[in-house]
Amino acid sequence: MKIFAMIVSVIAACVVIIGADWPTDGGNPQRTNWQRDETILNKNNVANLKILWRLKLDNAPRQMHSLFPPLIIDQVRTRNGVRQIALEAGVSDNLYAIDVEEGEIIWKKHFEYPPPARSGRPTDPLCPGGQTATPLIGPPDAAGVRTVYALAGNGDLHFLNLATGDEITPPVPFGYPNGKAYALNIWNNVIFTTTSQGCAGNPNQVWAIDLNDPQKKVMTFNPRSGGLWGRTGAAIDSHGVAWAPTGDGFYDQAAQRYGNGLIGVKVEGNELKLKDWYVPSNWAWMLKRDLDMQVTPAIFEYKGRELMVTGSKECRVYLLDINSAGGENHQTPVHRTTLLCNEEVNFASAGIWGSMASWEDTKGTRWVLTPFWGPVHPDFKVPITYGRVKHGAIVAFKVEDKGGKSQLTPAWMSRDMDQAEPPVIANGVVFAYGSGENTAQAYPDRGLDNQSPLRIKASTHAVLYALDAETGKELYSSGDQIASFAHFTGLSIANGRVYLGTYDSVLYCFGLEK
Amino acid sequence: MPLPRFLVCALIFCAFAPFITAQNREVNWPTYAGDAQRSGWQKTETRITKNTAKDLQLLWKLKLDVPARSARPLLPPVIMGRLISYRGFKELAFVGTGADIVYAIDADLGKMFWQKHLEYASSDPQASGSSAACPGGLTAMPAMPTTPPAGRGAPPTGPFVSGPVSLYALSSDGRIHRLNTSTGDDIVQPVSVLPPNTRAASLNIVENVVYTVTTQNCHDSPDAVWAIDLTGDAPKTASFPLSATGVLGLEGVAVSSDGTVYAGDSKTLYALSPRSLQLRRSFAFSRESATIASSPVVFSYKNRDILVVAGSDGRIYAVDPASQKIDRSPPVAGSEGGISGISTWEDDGVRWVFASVSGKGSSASSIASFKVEEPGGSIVLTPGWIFREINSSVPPVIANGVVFALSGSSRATLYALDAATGKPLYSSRNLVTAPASSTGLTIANGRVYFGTTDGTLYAFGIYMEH
Repeated sequence: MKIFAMIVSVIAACVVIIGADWPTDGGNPQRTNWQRDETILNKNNVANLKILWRLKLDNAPRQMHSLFPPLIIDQVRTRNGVRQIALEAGVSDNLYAIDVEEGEIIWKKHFEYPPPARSGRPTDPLCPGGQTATPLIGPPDAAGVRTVYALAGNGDLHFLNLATGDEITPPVPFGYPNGKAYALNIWNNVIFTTTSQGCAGNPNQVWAIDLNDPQKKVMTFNPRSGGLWGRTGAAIDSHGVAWAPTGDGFYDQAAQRYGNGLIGVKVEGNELKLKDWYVPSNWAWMLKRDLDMQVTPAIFEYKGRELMVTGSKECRVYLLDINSAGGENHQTPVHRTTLLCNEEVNFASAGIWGSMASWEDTKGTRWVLTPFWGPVHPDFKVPITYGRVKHGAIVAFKVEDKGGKSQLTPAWMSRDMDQAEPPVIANGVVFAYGSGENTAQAYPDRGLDNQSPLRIKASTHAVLYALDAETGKELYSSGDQIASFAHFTGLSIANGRVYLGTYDSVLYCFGLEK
Repeated sequence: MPLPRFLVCALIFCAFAPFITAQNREVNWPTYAGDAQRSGWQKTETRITKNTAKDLQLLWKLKLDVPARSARPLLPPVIMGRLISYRGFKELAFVGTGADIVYAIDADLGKMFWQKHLEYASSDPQASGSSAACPGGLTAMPAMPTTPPAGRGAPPTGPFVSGPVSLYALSSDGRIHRLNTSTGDDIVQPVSVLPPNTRAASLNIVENVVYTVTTQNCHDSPDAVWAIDLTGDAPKTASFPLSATGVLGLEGVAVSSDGTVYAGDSKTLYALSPRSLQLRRSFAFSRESATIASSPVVFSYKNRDILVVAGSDGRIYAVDPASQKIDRSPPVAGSEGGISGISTWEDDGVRWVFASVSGKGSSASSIASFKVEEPGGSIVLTPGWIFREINSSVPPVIANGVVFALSGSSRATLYALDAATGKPLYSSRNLVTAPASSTGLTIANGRVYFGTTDGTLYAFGIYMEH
């Protein structure tokens, strides 16, 4: 036991010295949104969170989009010494490397290309064009160089040196211009992304490119659905299978249509092959009411098994086994929760949007967290609550075995949040935020009218919260310190700092004052 | 040179697009009997088939506020297959009641979406008495515009037509309401277009004109065909007087594919011009021993319109406006019964006509079928199958080869029959606890709807997991 304690202490000391990273959206390829290496922020001090700096960037918002979650890498050797860098991507094809200690830009890169022939409908929030995929940062090479993989709005995949911003090798094609790609992910040197909404007339599919392939062949799998718009793209399991939700669409196995489901694809040879899928048994209802499966799953280990959780606008959480997602008929999950929200069966402003989160506490309890929008469902029972939820909340489940089956047991539901977004977890603290964005897509007087200007005008501002991860109790709120809203982005956390970018292209860095 | 991959995908999508659309789109039932021709035929049904009809079940029922004394308190629902509302994607059933209330019901869940009481606002007092002939209250089934034929249709200008698709209702004070389908609110101030307290038949909206028929001279109002032109700054009303006793049916007018408005009284069928209701042609039944007992149904047969109406002698009459020839079927109702409704559909080039026959005493009740044929250059109604276990007072409706008929006895019973053979496929047996409301059936998107005299709306259909 002493030896174990020593090992833990040494590892903790190493983390403090070396520092933690957040190299990809969701923190890791499994998209758990769990910062396992946090040592600075904890339940006892998080109430003292402050805005350490805010940095106004010259990135022009497109539609409602602006900044994506920054990627954090410590111990980067730059021309001016070793720095901890936040790599911030902006939708207008900008990348910024920021010294997180000073909140100052080290370098900026703008991807130049001729205006694409095709683009989304003007004012359409679904198809902003430009750089929409959160980049990712690879591991250090033999020389210690860390490569930034970034997908420009023209579909070119760039390879940049994190320390300098210089192009390491020429970009390669990896998609179509203005195709609305989602966060990049990497596994064994294969980069994945997903596309959705048919933006600019482009197909909705999973994309992969093998960095070891000299030809850089672009591999795709198209589930023939409405779009793979999980906020953090695909999550990748230990077998290299990339799991992505498929959005609205028909399910017809014979016709190879996998709408309203979650598909798992894997690179075999130089092809992207469908390995497995899950489609809820009520997919037709979900299609009719536009209740997409569109939540990037979180993949985790539980008692020797590899499980994942995902959700939908219908507002259920699904627990799936990666070895047989949906069982023999592809429609039987390990567990499906009751409706958490969306009693009105609305396609906008309600349901689960974005991505999931999962972590394990020191007692070995496996937790799953989901955000949701809108009022809590009156039939959803949860032991710990914090007042009436009208606009959204975070719900935490424990993964438990009962009657020989694994299930999600509701543990707590947070306070009300104005459009609760995917949380991140670090050191027993859940960080979450209400985006403050107006999510209305239809109006009483005119029906569907999903226009960015209307929504931007009606949006308010984001609020960052810190919650006790075991009880959901509020430990911190940023109140009205954040000036603008945050659309389809996310939190990043590393080394005592929490980051959020907002529509006005301001990157906020929260942390503890020295 | 191989095609770019995205182009291949686009071509594949285009190839499958019609199939995708047919599967994907929830369809409307915008007016009585489903279309401007009053066919009773739901042409785009996919869920109900001859094979699945046995799986029909009572999906939900909902009690609504209706006048206690009325025999037909609930009008058949208008179905809006897909509304993208501020409260989500909805399939709505709009139900008018004699209490001057229009309800919007979530058709998937059987939950109230909104309800709107149409306030009485005429200087004439609201009729307090009620009779079978003049029931008072809202009598015209509300309607949404039927789809205009391609290439025609007036540009939608004016406050009563511009903007989103709306529901139109005629309140008992004679005002036309344009209702917001998301909220039930009046989009514009309702306008008086008919005398108050009439007995108006179901609205039929074609190319921005609302048609209806008033009968029974209720509260001294004239019996007439009415056309309410919704375009322009304010609705404009035209009328065509009916000289003989009006027909009691709910159907009102039938509008053919070329826009001709067909209506009738007990002695004559009239072909009227759209919008202005100028008389184009009339078809007198003076040489027949019977009077006209139903509103007309019009359908296209070998590139011309054919009208069918019921006669008081229990026969179906087929009128060919082009040749002015009238064919009559063998009688299907006896002297103590009558034909209470007609519907029609086409199957692989065969045109069918169905009649609901209600009977008393020696007169057999049934659903009777006829094939429309033209052996010697004249239209002939050739008797087909008869299903005799039903006493229906409303026209059948047809979807995907299945005929639905409603028995109006002490406990209404819904029947599904094979449209080609009359073979029974389903019966609701004792699931309904009150007599049918004698107004009509609605069918759309895998569900069949009807009301009962206790003010309950029933939805039978194919279950969809929620």
